[in-house]
Formats: sequence, C-alpha cells, structure tokens
Amino acid sequence: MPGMKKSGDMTVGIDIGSRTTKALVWNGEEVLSRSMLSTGWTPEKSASVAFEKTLQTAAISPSEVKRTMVTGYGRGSISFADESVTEITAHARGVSYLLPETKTLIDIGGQDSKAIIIDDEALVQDFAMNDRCAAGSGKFLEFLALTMELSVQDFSELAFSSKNPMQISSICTVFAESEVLSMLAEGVAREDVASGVHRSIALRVAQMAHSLHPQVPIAFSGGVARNRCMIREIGVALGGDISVPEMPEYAGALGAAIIARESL
Amino acid sequence: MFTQFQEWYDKRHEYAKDWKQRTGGKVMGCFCSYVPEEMLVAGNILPVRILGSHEPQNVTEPYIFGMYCPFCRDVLAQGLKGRYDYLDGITLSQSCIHLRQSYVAWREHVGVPFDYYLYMPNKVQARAATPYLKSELVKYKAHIEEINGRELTDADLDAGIAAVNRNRELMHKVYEFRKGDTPKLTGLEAMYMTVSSTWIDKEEHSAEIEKVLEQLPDRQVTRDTGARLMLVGSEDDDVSFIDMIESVGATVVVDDHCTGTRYFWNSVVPDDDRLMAIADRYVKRPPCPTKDWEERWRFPHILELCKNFDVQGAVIIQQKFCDPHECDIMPLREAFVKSDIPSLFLEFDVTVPIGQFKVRVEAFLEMIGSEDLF
Repeated sequence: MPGMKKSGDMTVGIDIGSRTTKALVWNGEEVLSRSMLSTGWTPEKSASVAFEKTLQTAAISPSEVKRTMVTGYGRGSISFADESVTEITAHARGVSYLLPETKTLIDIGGQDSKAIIIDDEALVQDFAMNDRCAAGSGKFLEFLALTMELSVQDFSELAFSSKNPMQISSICTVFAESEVLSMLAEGVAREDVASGVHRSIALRVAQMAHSLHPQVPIAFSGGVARNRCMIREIGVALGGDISVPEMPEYAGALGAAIIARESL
Repeated sequence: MFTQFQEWYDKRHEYAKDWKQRTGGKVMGCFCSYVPEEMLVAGNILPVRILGSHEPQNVTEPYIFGMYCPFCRDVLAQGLKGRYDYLDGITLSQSCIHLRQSYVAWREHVGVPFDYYLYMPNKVQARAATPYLKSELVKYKAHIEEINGRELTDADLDAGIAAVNRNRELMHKVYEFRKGDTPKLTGLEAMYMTVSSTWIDKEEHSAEIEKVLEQLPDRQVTRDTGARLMLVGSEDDDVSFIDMIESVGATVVVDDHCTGTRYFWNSVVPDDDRLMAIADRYVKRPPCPTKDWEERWRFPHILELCKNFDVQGAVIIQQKFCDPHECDIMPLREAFVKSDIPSLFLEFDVTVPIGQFKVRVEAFLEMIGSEDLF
C-alpha cells in the first residue's frame, strides 16, 4: 500500500453520491467522525452541510483540516474542496485500507454499480460501470421495494427469507415492475419475488464483473452492501465469499480522505 | 490555426451548395469510406461523406430497424430531413447491412437522381479481391461517365489520384506533429481536419493543410499533454466527446476510425492500369472490421500506431449495435492487454452522455496515472 502518514494531519473525504452525501474526518489512523445526508438537487449545499456536521462532531475547526478531497458524481461542483477524485479510485482506496487483501470490489450505489479490479499496490487495475440504465443499482431496488409497499430494509429481510427466488427477466426498471406485479397477481410468494429482484441485480453486476476476470477475495461496498440478501446473491453469482467492510457506504469518502492525506 | 476546418465541419451543407454553384460540378453522397473518391474527383464530382448530426430524431423508424446502429439511423435521418437535398447522386460501397439499409431506404424514400451500389469485396484478404474490385470499378467508371455525359480519361484519373493522394500525404504530415512529447495539435483539431476532408474539395482542403503545416513547427503549445490516448472503433465524428476527453487531462494523439486514419492512411500507388491501382489501394487500406477476416490485419496496424505515437491508453468507441466492431471488441481488448496498453470501452449512441462518460474517462486517466495520484 502506498505510504501512509502518521497521525496528526487531518483530512476530510466527501462522497457526493446520487442519493446520499457522506463525509468523514480522517487522521491517518482512524475515522474521527462521519455524517451522511440526502444529496438532494444541490451537491454543493449537501457537501457543505455534511462537511460542517462532521467537523462539528469531531470538534475541530475548518482551519485544522489540511485537505478536503471530494468524490462522487457531484465532485466537480464543490468550490470549497481542494481536489477531487473519481468514485472508482476512491472506493478502491477506501476498501483496500479496510480489507487489504481485496482483489475485486463490487460497489453498488444509488444509481450506478461498479466492478473494480485492484492490484497488489491497492491501485485500480481495471473497472466497469453500468451503462445508462438503473438496472443493477440501488435505485432499482428502491423502486421495486416501493412497488411492494416495503422499506428497502424490510424488502431485503423478506427476500433473505426466501428459499425459492423467482426469475426476473426484464432489464428495464419499469418493465421489471410490471413483471413483479404480474407475479404477485398470480399468487407467487412475496419473499420469492423479492429475492428474485435481488438475484436479478446480482446477476447483472456479476456479468459486469466477469468481463474483468475477477479474482478473490471479493469485497462489496456502497449503501447496498448493507443488504444481506444482496450480499448472499452477489456471492452466489460470483461463486465466492463476499467481504463487506465496516460502514460500507463510507468507503468512497474514506478513500478520498486517505488519498487527500497521502497527497499532502 | 484550425478554425477553417472547424467552420467546414460546422457548415458542411453550406459549403457543398456553394461549391456546386461556383464550380458547376455535381455532388456525390458517399455512404462509406470505401467509395473510391479518386474516380469522383477525376470526374469533377465532389465526394461528400454522409454523416449524422448527433441530434435525437423521430423520422427513421418506418424505414430502418430500431436496433440498427445509431450512426446508420442518424445518416438516414439527414436524408429524410432534406439536409442533403443538393446531392446529385449517392454511392454505397458494400459495407455492413445496417448502412446498406440506410442506403436502400434513402434511395426509396428520399430519392436522388443517381444511385449506385458498388460491390466492394467483403473479403479483402482473398487473392482475387483486387482484380475483382477493379472489374467493379470499370462499371463504376461507366456510371460516372453516364452522370457527366463524357468519358473519364486516363488524364482525369491521374489528376483525381494525385489530388486525393496529396490530401492524404498532407494529413500524414500533420499527424507527425502529434508524435512528439508535446503534440502540436489536439485530437479535436485533428478530428476537425480529417472529418472535414471527407466532404471538402481536395484541392481546397490540401491548400488549407499546407497553411497549417507552415505554422505548426513554430506553434507554442501551453496546455499540458497529460495522458496520450488513442481512439479506436466505429465511425466517430463526435467532437463533444473528444473535447471532453481533452478537458480532463489527456490528449488524443492518434485514432483508428473510418473518419480518421482508416480513411486516409494509405495512398494509391500510381500504375498504368489506373483502376487496378485504385482497387489495390482500397483492398490494402487499414480495414474496417466488416472486411477484416479471416485474419485480423487491423490489430497489428493499431498496435503499431500505439507504438509510433507513444500511446499510454486506448479508448475503444463502439457505436451501439455495430455488429462488425462488436465482433472485434474481445480480441482487441486482449491484444491491448498483451501489449500492456490499458483500454476503456465506451458504447456510443446518437447523442453521447457526456457526464456519465466523463467519470469513466477520469477514472481511466487516474488508473493510467495512478503513480502520480498517491
């Protein structure tokens, strides 16, 4: 792993995702504080609020922050940030710190999913992202949970209880909803439909990962990595155990903070 | 320095109409870069490559299948919208079935005084390819003579070959200035030059290149070169995409597109048998994947370009649903891996989602330059 600096200098990483903005303070050894809020339609504002909140929690002032690095889709519009880095590099860096053996990383966020191959130096060797379609993303999961009038958490737990996942064929999110409604109308068990939705996402993500010839160990980050049904299905689809780092939704922000510190 | 090329790119139809008026010549719409332009130039006919406009459209659905490539649909849309209403004729040199359908639909539903389907052999690696194409060029010559109402002489053909060869050689010279540590021109500027050469009068285009060549050696380049990239793949005249790439820390130093190097890379070797010489040029040019079988001749050529232009990474551009290029994607990526050249694959549509592509390009650049990042 590229040389880590000793504790003292504090950096902030902010990951402005399509759904949520995450920020944290890093001192080179541990995360001192973190905050998360909905991104909304103004990345600059959400980044600013997340930044202030996390500094407040850590009880430090902005002048104590040596560098602020932003990542995520809104990274280009943050005037107070020192630098930016793509979410691909940031997630790879964050997960490599938390789970150093990782060779393949799956990240599923609100509107995109990624497969990233990481080399022995914790650097991105290759990557793939979903193309112009929400299928295979957290938004797809949210949308179909809503169709079944469940929260994402309940939807995940219901799916986890299934022993017989249904096959969802539609790639389009809207058509998948029609398919789900048809199955429910035919009396298919809700848990089997819910697990089928999870399986369809896992298969799409695995297909993307297979294009990169993934190697084990495989890690899973992003907000969707809190979903234990998805962890199981990704593992089945990729044929291996899946490791999830602590606070997986903060992996990008952590990576950004680490890169910020290494570039001091 | 390259503003004239940009103006020609932006005002392609105005240019062709003006050319027609001031020269009295005819204009031929070309559906593929395999149309032998030398013969058209020889007959004082302006070859104009028909390209799309990169705008969403709703006119082609009755005439071409929705899952044919966006380029072919965009091309047909231009005809249906009347943007090429000044054409005297159209020529398709046998290409992929998608572009063939654009040609057929244009012929049937747009209409044009002259149309010609040139049977360019698909298997250019066959021993009979050159003599076969020559036999087809004999027929095409007769077609041009019919359009003009006069014979196409050897002297005409010599002049046509010389004019097109000169244009190719001049573009080669400009490309040489992309090789140094600090390329003297951007990929965007090169694209304006090469793409506009597919419809501008060769003499006028060459004269403009000569002006550029006088100034290029002393050009002071202030922008950082960044990563040296190659663009590879289907037809690509998307200036917004290449501009985005070069705005995030890279310079496109070379390409393998039919609107770029594949169009002009080799010249006609003059011979007493003019048509055989022209046929030989089109058979031996860097091939389109539709014609690049059973061996893949294109790959060693691409890797040679990478070496000569000191390429650090390749962006593979794929027109969505373009079957011939899709057939090459896997082995091409493998060829890049074997040569230690990182590659990024992107799928194009009529309009390009710049924001989504930007993050991929930036991540790719971070990957290439990761040693500098940490």
